[in-house]
Amino acid sequence: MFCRLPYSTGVSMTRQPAGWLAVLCALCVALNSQSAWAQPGRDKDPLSWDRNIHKLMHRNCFYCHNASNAKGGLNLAQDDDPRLILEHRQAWETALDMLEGGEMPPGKAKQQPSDEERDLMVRFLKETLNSLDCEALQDPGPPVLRRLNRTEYDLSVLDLTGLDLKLAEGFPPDPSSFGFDNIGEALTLSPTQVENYHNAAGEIVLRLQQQEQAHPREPSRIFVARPDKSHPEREVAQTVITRFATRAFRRPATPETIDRLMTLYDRSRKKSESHEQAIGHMLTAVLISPQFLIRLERNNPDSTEPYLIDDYELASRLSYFLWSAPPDDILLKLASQKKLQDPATLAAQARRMLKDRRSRAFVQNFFGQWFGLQELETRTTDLKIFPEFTPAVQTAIQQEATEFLQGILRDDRPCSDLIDADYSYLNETLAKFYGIPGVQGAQMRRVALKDRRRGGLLTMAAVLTLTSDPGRTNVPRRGNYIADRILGAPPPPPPPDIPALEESKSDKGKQLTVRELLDLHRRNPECASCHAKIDPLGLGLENYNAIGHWRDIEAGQPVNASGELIDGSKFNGPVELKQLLLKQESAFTRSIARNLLIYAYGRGLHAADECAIRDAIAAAEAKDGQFNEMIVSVVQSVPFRYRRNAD
Amino acid sequence: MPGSQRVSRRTLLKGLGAAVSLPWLEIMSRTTALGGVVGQPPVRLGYFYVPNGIHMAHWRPEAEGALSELPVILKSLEPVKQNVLVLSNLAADHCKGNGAAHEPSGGGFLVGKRCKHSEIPEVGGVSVDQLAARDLGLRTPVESLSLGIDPGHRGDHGYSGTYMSHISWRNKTTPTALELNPRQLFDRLFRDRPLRRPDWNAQAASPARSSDSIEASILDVVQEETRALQRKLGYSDRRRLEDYLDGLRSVEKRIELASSDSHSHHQEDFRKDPHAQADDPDLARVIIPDGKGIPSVYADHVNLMLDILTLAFQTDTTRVATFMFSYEKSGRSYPQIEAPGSHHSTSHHGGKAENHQQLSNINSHHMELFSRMLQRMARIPEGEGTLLDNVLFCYGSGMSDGNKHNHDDLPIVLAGGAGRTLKGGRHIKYTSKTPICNLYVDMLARVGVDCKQFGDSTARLDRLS
Repeated sequence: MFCRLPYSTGVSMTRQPAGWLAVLCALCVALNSQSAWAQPGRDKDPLSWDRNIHKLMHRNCFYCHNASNAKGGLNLAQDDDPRLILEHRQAWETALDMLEGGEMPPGKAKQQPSDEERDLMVRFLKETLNSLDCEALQDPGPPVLRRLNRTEYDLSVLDLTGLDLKLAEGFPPDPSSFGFDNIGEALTLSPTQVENYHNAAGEIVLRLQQQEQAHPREPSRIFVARPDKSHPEREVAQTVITRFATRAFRRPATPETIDRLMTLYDRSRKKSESHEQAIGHMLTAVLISPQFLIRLERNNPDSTEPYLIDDYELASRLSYFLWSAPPDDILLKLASQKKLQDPATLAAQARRMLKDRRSRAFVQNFFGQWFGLQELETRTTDLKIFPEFTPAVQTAIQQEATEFLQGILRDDRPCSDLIDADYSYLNETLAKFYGIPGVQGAQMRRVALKDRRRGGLLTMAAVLTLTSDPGRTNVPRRGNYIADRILGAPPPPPPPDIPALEESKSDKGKQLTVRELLDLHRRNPECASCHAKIDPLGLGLENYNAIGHWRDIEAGQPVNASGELIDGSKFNGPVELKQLLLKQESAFTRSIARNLLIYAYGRGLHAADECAIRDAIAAAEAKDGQFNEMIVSVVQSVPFRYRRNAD
Repeated sequence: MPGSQRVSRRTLLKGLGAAVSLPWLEIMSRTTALGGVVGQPPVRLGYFYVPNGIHMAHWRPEAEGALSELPVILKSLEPVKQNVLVLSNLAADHCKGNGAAHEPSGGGFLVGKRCKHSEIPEVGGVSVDQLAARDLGLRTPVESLSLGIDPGHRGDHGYSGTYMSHISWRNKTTPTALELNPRQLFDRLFRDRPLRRPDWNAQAASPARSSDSIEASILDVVQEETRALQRKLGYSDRRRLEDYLDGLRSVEKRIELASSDSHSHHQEDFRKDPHAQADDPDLARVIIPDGKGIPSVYADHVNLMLDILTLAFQTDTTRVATFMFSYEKSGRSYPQIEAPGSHHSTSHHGGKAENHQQLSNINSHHMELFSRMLQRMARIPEGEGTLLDNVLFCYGSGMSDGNKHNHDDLPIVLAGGAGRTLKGGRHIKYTSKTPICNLYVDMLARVGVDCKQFGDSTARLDRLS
């Protein structure tokens, strides 16, 4: 069941989604009818939450998963109302898997449910988790206010002034939540930041004035008009600042704002400062204005229902999502014509933007953070052990990942390419590093891969390096990476005070291979439950050393990269591992959709977002799994186009 | 970084240290523009954080009482031993978390409350440094500094990564912005403000606002604009704009202090110092390496940040600071000191001697850099003593053993004289699990902030004087 969006055909919306108060009610109704939750007349129903299920959960789950004792980082007891089960969907989906697979409650627990009780809990959770009525649910979620993060700030300044100053690289790092640095609630403002903005504005304006002084007759992005006989200075100043403020605020500057700014011009001139100096003060004021630094969206105080954001706000949501930059002239023009909320136009614009070179920012910020590629810059490799990991190689492995991901957008490639692809992007340095013949020159270019030991992200040196320790591979970390980033199911944290693997007394002094060490790991029941899931995934990549080189021998013994997943499926080596992962494509596409939504909406996910996730997955499935289709679906989703007032 | 440039920067900083020496006048007790006592420099407060716990066997002094032979990790403190207290058995119960130890160790360390298990950070309240800054920061151009070396890392297990990279919190949801770039930091602190030595004897100057400055008018216009905007926004957005306005006010304060400077406590320009002139008239350019402004060698980066911090204290630019040697759970490797493994991976030492050695190297390295700063401060005359006499620093981690993730028996060193009120040169063992917040209460009292209870404190820590 996938929800369809209530699009109108014209510019003005004739069908508004149901009020969000109504939304919650819709949710209740859905639950009531399907899961027999607190419903009169069905109080003998074994699936009644109040009568039966809550007690079962309490007895079997909550003892270890509550606020003060949240084993595995999971607090299930807080959800004493089935609505909250939908709100915390991911946690409960994990719980469902565990219950159904018989992994929980753990064998050592005294309290065990009967088969019938377990079955009831499983049925209840399945029904509840499937009980979304997307037709009725049109909740855009709580409103989000986002200040520009460092990347967005620099790209905005570049777009506005043409100056590539990268001033924000020296700003304090932006907080990361859900793995991304563009989450509204986390992007707080402290005085240091405002001071940084103030200093940066000073620097930008100084450069602009110097430029104008040096080239007073050349066309300028800022000084779009210059005084002459028929254009008096004050009038020119007003033209210049109106244009600048409109670009900076990403919407037309109001006459009140312009008037306020012009008082600065007048004051400055009264102090006998020059026309250019006086304009400079106005530019500074614009550059430290919250309308530039923060993506403000108008509140609609009278509305208790979700409302469409205006076209300018939508243009900004779109451009910062796909470019990390302000809307260009095309988007602003469409916004001024109020055409952007038209679904076909919106989709066409998203497609255009994905093919534009500015989508490189999406590659770097979305993929770069999701897959941890941004961490490559700061992580170190032990060059004593790996002298061949030269700066040229380090650059090339980063470029490979970037080019590959850019290609996914440019060539409308399917999501599955991320796991396995028959091509990659190499230059001579990297091809030699991989042992692939026939590539010459420093230029990265697309190369067909016959040998599938390379192909897809997991077998790229970039990912293999960043999931290793400086001098050796780290099998659980690689496994954890696949489980978390690719399959969207990170294992819970390890217990503290872990004994040394080597000290577990089972060897007689001979050097153990990593595999043997990890086997010890898994004999310890405390470790086993998680490591049984992640270690095999990581072992499948043991043919790649800590910098991603292929190896057949490790610690004097042939590498054994075979393994068995928790579901019993067996593989031998990375090629087969990739095949198995491709079979789990639904988990993978769901993981993509979740991350995409978080990044696009700038917030964590809520119950109703499940509808947008399903839409995005369906959109991709309908077109050979194309990643771009997911993006088009996301920009058309209710939360992307609507807003509601805060609770 | 070319060697010659580095030498010149170092020499210069030594020169700066010498340049602040002034004969301090002892005058009657009277409140000045600076707050505190005339003729007596104020106590500056600092918290220094090291991640992933400590190899405690190489940290803990054998006996209680006077510090004699220092353990391996503390060895570098030898020259300033008499200004140092090693405190054992302090505990941070609030650093416990739901199945995650590193996040609350960092985020909760200075707050004294539990961190919320959430991707949107919420630490439960203001951190001790920021509580102090609300008061001490009123009198200085910059309220407080929050410095570090590494950007953070994404969070794990449902905790925001912000917890690991931020120990300083303005309120329960807003961390202070962490500054990593020495060039940027130096510019922000000193660009439009010549480096001057404070005159603690100066009388209160009326902060006459130069109301006709255009710079001030720009802020007025933006403030007006913001107020107008707020009316169109929802409640929570309006609140966020309040944070922005707070920031504008701090810019405003800087401008005011700069313009009223001629009759305030900042007297002579550092750049008139012959040492500085001999090297380069443009201090900013000399002090900061080229490029993006971040030295490639870890120790150089730390030293530079701590030098600027010293300068900020010396010039009374600020009186409160935090510094993170790296973020909690940091996987930084230190190949230059024979610790090439990931710090975090190594901290799960599993009892292996090789890991213990690497950890001990990392822990010693951090302490050496800290000690170098203390030693410099000990050479900077101030009042009747030195800058070191007038600081109060807490150095430590929210975790004891990185393998056990335990939050009792924390590694804590207290450094500085706190206006010569501390009796240093000792190792004090407290009752097991004494809350570290008891120490915070004491530190607040020593900088003149009255706070009877903080976090989970049970009393003011005794035996320090």
